[in-house]
Amino acid sequence: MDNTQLYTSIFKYHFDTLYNYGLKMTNDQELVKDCIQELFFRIWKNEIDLAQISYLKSYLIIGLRRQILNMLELKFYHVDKIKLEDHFLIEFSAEDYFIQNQFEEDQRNSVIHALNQLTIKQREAIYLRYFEELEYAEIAEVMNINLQSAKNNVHRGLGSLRELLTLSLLSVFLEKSLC
Amino acid sequence: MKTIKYEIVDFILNESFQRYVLNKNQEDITYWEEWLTENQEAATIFHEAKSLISFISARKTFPKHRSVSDEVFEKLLSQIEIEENNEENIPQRRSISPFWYVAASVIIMLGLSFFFNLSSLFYTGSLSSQNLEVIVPKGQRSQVLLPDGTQVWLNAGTIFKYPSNFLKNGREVFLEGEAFFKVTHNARMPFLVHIKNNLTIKVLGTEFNVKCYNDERSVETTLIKGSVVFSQTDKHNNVIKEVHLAPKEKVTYDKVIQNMTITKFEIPAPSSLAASTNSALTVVKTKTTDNEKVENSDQLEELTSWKDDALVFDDETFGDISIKMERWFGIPITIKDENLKQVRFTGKFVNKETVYQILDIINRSEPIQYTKKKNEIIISRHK
Repeated sequence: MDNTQLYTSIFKYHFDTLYNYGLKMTNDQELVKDCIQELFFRIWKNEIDLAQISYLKSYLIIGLRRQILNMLELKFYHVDKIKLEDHFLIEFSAEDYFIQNQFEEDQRNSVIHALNQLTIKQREAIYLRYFEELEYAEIAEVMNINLQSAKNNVHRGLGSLRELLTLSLLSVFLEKSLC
Repeated sequence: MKTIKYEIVDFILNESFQRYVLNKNQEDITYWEEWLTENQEAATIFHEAKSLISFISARKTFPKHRSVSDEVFEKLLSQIEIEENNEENIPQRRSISPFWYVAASVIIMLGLSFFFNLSSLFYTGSLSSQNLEVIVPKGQRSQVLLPDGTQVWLNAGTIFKYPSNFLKNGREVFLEGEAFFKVTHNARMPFLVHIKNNLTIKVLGTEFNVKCYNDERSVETTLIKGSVVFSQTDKHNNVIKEVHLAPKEKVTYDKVIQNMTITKFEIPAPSSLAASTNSALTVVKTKTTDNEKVENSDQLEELTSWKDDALVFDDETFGDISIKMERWFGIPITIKDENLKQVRFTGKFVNKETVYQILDIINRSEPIQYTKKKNEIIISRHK
């Protein structure tokens, strides 16, 4: 196990990303923890050369996503896999923003509310783009869609977001954020 | 000077602007900072767009989970330690590690699930291990060789799972779809096939076919050689019903009314044999009791002929046939005419005919027309 140090640092570096993403798929914390453990166990055991992987972060997210779907499939084994994907919980919550307290609570809530109005695909694409700062190619890979759809989901999501938020609300934002 | 009216959307949808706000690219940052100094009249809208994007990407506020991370990491380390000890204790392990071959295009996933979860549904035990999962998409067929030498043929649209420690803790697999098994005999270690609806097939060494698609009403198990026990259990793993199959028998389990029917395949008596030479495709079906049927033994072969790439319709409705073809060829098929769905056909295709060749042959006995729409076939009655 020469790679122990490498695997350890990768685990520590990406754990938060994976745990947060997992909790956006299901609110079962134990399940997410088990899935992350299994993901790394598999990488470790098979000595997968992570250096050969160009987009490590999206590689790990894809692995975790599959693992969680698998677990959910076994747990609710009568539910179709496809239907499970439709019921993704990628939702934005106030906790995601708790430090940004320069915004008033109700303003924060209206943006969160607006974000949650988007389609699940748009929400996930926006989440991956802005929370995880993935490239469009990586988003496409994670969501198993093509590059153009990845871009469209982000763009349309932002477009509808703009429409959902009134200009006046944004102006209040602006004043606060410039202070 | 010309004034251009900018909209906030123009900014938030601009990829370069997005990169600038996310601090990703020096070029973009320089560009937009310069742009702002030159376009002060658009400053308000510029900042609005910027604050909206930075709000969405609330990266700095991301929850940190230091203690959870440490907890999972500790567990991971002990899992690896246990695995390494196991490998040292059983030096032979590598030589019997699962090797399996599949058609190149078949998706294989190293199932990342605990067999334990599955096990709680079927049996109680503290068995915990990874699952290996073979997914055969519609339009393809595949084969798997299990570590004990058992051969499994998988039909289109099938999910087949087995634990990575198969053989170490018994021989158990999970099936959804259709498979033909040639199980290596081992009296000390029964081979179990788990199916949804709490059904299990217990085998010692034998050849049999299992058909259990989610979208079909019944589950069918056909025994060619040897003996199997087909059983249904309740939540607590107590056997409710069980059937011992003899060779050339098929059990059909109806998921809706939860009823089992046995079909025997027999070599027809000389008189009916003569009859069948006249019309080779006519099926002789005799109902002996409510739960027992007799069929011509030719039918037996046809039930498993899919593994030799033959597509067989045995007096089936066009509706059922379209579902079968959809799975076999991996292309969605829709029949627009309700009456057409009820028309019955019998036929056997062994020459790897295309979906269109088969539809053309059907067209000879029943006037149909079909249109190819983007990855879908739509069938209607020929007018």
